[in-house]
Amino acid sequence: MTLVENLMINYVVISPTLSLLFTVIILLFCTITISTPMYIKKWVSFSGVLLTLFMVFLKFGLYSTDGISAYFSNMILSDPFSLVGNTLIAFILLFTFSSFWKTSELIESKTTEALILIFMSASGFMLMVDSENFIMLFIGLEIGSISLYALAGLNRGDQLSNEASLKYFLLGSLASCIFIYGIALLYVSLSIIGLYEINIAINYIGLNNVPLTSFIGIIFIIVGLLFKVAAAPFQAWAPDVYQGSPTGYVGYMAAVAKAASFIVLARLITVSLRFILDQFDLFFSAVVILSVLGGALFATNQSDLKRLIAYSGVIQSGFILSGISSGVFGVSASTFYLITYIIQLVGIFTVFSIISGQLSSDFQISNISGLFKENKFITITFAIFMLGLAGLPLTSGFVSKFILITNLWSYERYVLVSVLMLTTVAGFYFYLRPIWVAAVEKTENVVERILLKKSDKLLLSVLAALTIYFGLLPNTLVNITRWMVESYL
Amino acid sequence: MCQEVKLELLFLLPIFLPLLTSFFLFLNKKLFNELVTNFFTLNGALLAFAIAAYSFIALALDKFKPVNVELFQWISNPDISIGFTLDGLSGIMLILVTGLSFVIQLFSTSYMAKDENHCNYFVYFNFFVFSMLLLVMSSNFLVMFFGWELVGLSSYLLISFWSKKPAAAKAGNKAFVINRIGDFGFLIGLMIILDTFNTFDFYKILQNTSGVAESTITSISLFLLLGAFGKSAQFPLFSWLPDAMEGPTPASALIHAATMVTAGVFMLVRISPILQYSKIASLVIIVFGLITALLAAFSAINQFDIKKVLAYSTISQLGFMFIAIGAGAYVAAIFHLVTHAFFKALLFLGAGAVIHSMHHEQDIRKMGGLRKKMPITASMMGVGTLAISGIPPLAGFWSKDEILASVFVNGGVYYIFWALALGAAFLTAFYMGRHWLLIFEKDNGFDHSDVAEAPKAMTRPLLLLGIFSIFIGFINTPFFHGLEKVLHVTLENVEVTHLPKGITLVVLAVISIGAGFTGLIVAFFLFGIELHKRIDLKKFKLESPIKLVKDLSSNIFYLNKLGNLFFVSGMKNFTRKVAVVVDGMLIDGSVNFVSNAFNKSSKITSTTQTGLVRNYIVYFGLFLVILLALFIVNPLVPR
Repeated sequence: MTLVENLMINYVVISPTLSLLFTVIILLFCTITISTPMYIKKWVSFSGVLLTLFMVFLKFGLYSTDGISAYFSNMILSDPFSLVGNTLIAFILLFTFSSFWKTSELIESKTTEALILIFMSASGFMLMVDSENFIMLFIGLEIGSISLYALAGLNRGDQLSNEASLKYFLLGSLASCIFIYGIALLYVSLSIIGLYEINIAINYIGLNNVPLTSFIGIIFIIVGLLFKVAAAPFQAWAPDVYQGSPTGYVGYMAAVAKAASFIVLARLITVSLRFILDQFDLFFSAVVILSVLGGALFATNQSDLKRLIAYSGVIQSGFILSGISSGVFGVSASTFYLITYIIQLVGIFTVFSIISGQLSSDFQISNISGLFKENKFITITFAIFMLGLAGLPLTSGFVSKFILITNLWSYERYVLVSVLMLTTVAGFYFYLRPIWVAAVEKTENVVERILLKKSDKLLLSVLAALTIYFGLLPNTLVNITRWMVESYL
Repeated sequence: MCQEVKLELLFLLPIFLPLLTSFFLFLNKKLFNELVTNFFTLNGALLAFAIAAYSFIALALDKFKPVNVELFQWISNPDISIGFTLDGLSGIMLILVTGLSFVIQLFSTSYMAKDENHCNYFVYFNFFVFSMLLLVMSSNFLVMFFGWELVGLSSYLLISFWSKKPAAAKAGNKAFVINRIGDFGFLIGLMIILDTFNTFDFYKILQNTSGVAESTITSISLFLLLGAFGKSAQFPLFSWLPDAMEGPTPASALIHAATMVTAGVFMLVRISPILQYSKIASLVIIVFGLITALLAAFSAINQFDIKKVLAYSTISQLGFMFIAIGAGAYVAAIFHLVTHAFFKALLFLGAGAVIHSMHHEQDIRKMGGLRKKMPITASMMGVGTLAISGIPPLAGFWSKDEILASVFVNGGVYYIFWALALGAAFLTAFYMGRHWLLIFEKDNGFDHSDVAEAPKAMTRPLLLLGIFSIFIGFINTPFFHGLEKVLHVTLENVEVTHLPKGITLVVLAVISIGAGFTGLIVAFFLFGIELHKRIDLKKFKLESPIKLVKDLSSNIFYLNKLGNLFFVSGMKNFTRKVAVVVDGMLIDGSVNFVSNAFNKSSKITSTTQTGLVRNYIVYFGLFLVILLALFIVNPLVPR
């Protein structure tokens, strides 16, 4: 056996990351050598996205022959979680492309810079969902996050944008500190840095002999990830960052960090913590209850729509976490929830960026008053996304909440079920209010007719149609999420 | 195999063809004149009927083995899918609905001519046919419920078709609201079914009945029965049907006589494998059927509106069908449904022809002596009258006699039921005889010189239906059990009450013929040769009883008034009190308190979001420590 075979070097398994890096290098080359026209940059970056999608497709082929296996001397993993994560990130890139491209086009001097940051962050998160090793995980997370910090402050003329970037950076570094400290603690107490090794080590030395420091290390790692998904009590950055960042980028920033972090959390729980999940019950329950109740309380009085969506994100994180932390079937239900939530989130921020213009940061509820009169299509899709977030029947939001709560019920977590149900009811108030303002309330200053591009129209229709489709016929997606956890039963 | 596949695709066509026609006409409403509209709708109906007939023959060649088509599965657990079935029962209904739809549309082209909403009428009409076929062809309760609701909707549209008349709009509303009560029951029944069987599919449900407690079956049956009562206008939910006569007469003929109102009977036969296990439900059905049959027949004897007599007669005949179901004679119920559809459609269309010729006069006191003016209509109405009265060998005799004999054969308390049903049959013959005599025979001294026979487009359907009313009874006689064979597979595991044998049957038949003849003869004495005017009534002191009977009959025992007094006025006061005390003070008060408290605490929490990074970092550290403490406190964690 040669050394190369021993290392298990396989470029297909990191091909999405590589294709993103390749796009970044071409873009970088374009900027520093000759001045390139906008349309070339656009097509280069769009083909980069398509190439990434194709590479993800190739990874499915690899998985179907090799099954769950590790590559690059146990650094990179190819399993259902990484496949779902890669697919999600690639589709987020595809669906948010129109928003972030238009914003980048507006920041003329820094168009390529913005695109490079976006693709770099995507490549980081791709690496993060692929990694088996905590060090690898940390590197992926940092590549992704640091690009996002810079992206938040890209609109240098705007004070809010600068503030958002700095806040995100400071708090994000704190979270990274906690995260790496957790890894260190785990290594000190058990001398392991692999996801699969935790399980093996605990089985080997017996649950009662596991040092407390290793548990604290795991908690720190989880907290670092919870920060990224903006679960309470680590949610404080989210509203400020969402509000300050250029509207066209927020959809991407919010969706990609959530998708990657939740997929990693799901894998951590199904693979590493599956036999010691009971010990974390109280911890997770506290986080879930704080998230849903705190998010609802904060969201009720918001007049800024971007902050409202940020707090709604806190609530949704609580929901997803409740499933993930309850067991394998809960993980499948939560993945369903995550996917439908990301569709709605991307849709809502697309609508915001269309209405408010790409660069603006504040987005008050008064900005959409009387929207329905001149912009029927935008309002209807906006209403579909909001109702999806609220969990009205016929939308995917209802089905996801339904599946999640029935799963929790079968795990006998009645307290969580009742709290989640209560929050759903409270949620209708602040989810329906923007629709009311946009469509029903009489107002003097109506939003003028917005010319929709064909691509935007197509994008919004596809996202709205998916929201309705998964609400009526959820079977396809349910089967996909079941398949994801099948091998961990 | 090849034939099966073809049939599966084929029998879906007549279901969706009317929908297509309806949609097509709706889109081209402004474009088409009457001629073009008639062309499309008639050809569509004829095509649907032809395909239906072909499917039925193919089914018959296959010994009525059910053909199922599942269009798509919606949810796998609980098993909910959209599917259709073609078996003996739905095959009969398929042929009946498409056939009558064609005949009645032919009549309508003339009756609705020069109406300003001519095209709209056919849009609604075809939509109704589609919904009815959805109802009867469904292979599960869900699709049936869709059809159930859609026939209600299209019936509403057709009743209030002339919505400029306030009475028509009101009648449409009444029908809709009363049907809601029934649908409410139907819906609850469906929920219990889904809870018990975890599926809506008829076959899966009907196969799994053995393991279910009788109380569950009874509650399912009773709730579904409420739906059937509403749709089939049974006591106490019958008062909408006479009012529904405000709609166009041909629509009444199809919807409120031949098809939609029989949906309840159809549904009960469909669930007969469940129904047979519940003694209570059967008893409820037969008792309410009897009450309805007697009450409606009694109400019909002093009505003067040409259509209302027929409406009450429909209610009464539906009562007979319910009696048959209650007695376990499911074949007899379907048989009566079929024969009744023909002769009642004939009577309604005849009434339509009369109304048309009388320039929209509906009071039968102002008619009289029309026989010479309208010979074809008169003779065909005569055939219909004889058929419904149960005079052999016309259609009504065979089916009604079968019902009466089936009730008799059950024995015990059913002898009383039999006697009462016989009374209802007698009343039927009496009021139908009166109806015909008042319209066509008795001279009331009105001038009818401008009345002429209806146009050929109207008389042809009448002749066709007349022929059927005479001969359709032969499909299921004591000598030839045709219908029983058709329904054989559908009612495979059902215990059907069979006819008595030999001399009993002959005696019963003679008695029921006797009841029919007596009714007709009494009607002839009273309204034909007006016997009561030739003898002195005072000598017999009969005046006040007759007046009482007339009064009670025309006011239907004051039931409607009682209903209004109790439900409308009483409920209004009660609900107002409930609204103020319970809803206003208790519920609103507590809800407002919760939302206010939530709002306040939301404002308080919002102040913690200061926007300062140092605060956020403090929160971060603080909560991290709290969560860590919470984790360590957990007794499960090893220390």
